[in-house]
Amino acid sequence: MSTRNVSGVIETNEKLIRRDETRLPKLKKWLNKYKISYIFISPFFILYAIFGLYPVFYSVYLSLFQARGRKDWTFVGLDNYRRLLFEDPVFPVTLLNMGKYLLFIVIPMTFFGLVLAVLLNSKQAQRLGGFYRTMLILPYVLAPTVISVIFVQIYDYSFGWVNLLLGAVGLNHIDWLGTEQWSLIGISLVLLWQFVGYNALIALAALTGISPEIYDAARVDGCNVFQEFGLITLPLMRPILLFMAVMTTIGVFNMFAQPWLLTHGGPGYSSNTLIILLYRTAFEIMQFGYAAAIGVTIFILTAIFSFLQITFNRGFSSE
Amino acid sequence: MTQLSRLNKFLSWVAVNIILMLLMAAFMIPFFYMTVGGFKLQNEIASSHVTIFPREPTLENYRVIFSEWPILRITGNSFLIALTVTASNLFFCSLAGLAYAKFRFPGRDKLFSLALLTMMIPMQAILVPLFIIMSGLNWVNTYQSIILPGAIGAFGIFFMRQYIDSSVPTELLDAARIDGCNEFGMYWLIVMPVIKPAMVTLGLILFMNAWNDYLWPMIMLNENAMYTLSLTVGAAGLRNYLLNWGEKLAAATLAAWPPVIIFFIFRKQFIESIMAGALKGG
Repeated sequence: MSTRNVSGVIETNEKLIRRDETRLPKLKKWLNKYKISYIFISPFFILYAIFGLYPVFYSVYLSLFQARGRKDWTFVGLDNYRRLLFEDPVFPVTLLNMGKYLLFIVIPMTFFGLVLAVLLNSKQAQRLGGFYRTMLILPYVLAPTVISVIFVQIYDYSFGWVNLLLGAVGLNHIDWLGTEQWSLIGISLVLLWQFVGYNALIALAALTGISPEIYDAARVDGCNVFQEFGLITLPLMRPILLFMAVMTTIGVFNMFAQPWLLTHGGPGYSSNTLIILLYRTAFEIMQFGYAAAIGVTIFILTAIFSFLQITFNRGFSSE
Repeated sequence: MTQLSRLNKFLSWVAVNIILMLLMAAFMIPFFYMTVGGFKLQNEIASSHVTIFPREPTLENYRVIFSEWPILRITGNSFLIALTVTASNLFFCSLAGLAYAKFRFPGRDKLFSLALLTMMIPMQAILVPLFIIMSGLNWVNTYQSIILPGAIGAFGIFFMRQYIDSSVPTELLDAARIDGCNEFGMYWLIVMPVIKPAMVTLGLILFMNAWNDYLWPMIMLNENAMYTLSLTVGAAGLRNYLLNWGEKLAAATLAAWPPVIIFFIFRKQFIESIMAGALKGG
């Protein structure tokens, strides 16, 4: 702009250049400028389009057919959904199970994760802190198959160490995996065992971030340990506890390996999960269309759930 | 009075550490049970007369596992799949993370949100169409059927973006740009050395997830020579509907130790980055 005042020659030069630029295709120029950024981020989208998005649409399409395996497709409209929601006796049982799993896993996981973190954060635990932290994470590293092999044995009714321990303190043996009454609880305990240490570390990270001065002030005001916990620790930890609960909830929704390997969802359907239901429908009785409808139902449930969580979160942070 | 408070202090120290030690025992005993149980015969494990260490240590379980399964090949499969998935994720996720964290381009934030949104759809829910696609490509019993769907994950991109955003100084990148460094050069020469700790943490998580994965490999791989260790543990030790406990434990031990050893090597970095809040994406 300032060149206009200095001389007309430069202005015409600029015009020439400008005209030259417009001759270049705009898109090409635009692409040249941002090319690298798009190259850096595109591999994910390309791969996801093929192995994520396309299967999602495929699921919706497939769910409208009665399909035995990959062949013999008959269009049935929404019949699969009608069957799933109103006729299938297993689906409501499984949904109820998911609710129980959430109750038996998410709440204890968050609670004991926090308790463990508070213990680890105490002065008394500092000397052995490194050892404790390492051991806490050990179960998290093990494969679900490995963990299931171990727990099938230590849950054994006659010879499992858990029952031998119960017997030693004078309690009755429990058939953890073989009865409808206990199977879901038995599996929940395994998951709790596997992931509570990891959750404790996440909680511990947040705990160490709380400044000790707040506690000092509370002590001066005459708070005891429990008041400190209820009035300071808990309110300050709420965001991180929510995060732990959300992550655990997502894990529970996608649970397959542990319940499958420990009980196959049984006895009966007492420890069945949604993914086990989907897997058996697809790969044991080969009803691909019906299994796709279960898959789509899982998306919808997840979407509703995430939406609730986001709204809850928002209300929570604006508090 | 001071003596009393010193006693109190000592007692509370003992109490806290006893509770924690008991909990640690609960975390370790199943792992210990597996490792020693692999050296016990069936009649010693399944007996109410508990032995801690094997009364008659035996390698029989391992002999059976090695004779019935091509364990070297299977271990190779596990490493191949887990290492490829890890390397591919680390490379592509850090590139994308750099672009999202430090470059300006139209639609950046929208595209990033879109990538995050994909995490909401669990892979387990699209098993059937994914299986049909893989079968259509004739990819049943191939490595790529396991590697490709998980080769670049949104979680890794998120993780890397957070880390690069907070730990790579923008001035450093600007200086490099002025010196005539192109974007890939910036990535390789400036960003890579700085994000090594994040690479280790994300790498560990990815490696363990890929190594431990069960459902998808179980659907795609059905030849013994293509099995992973994780799958082998699920299938081993079963003959004529009879379960051999010792063989199961031996197979489990073979599958468990590699990730445990890798974890122990990098445990400091791993625990530190969890403690730094890296995994909550804060």
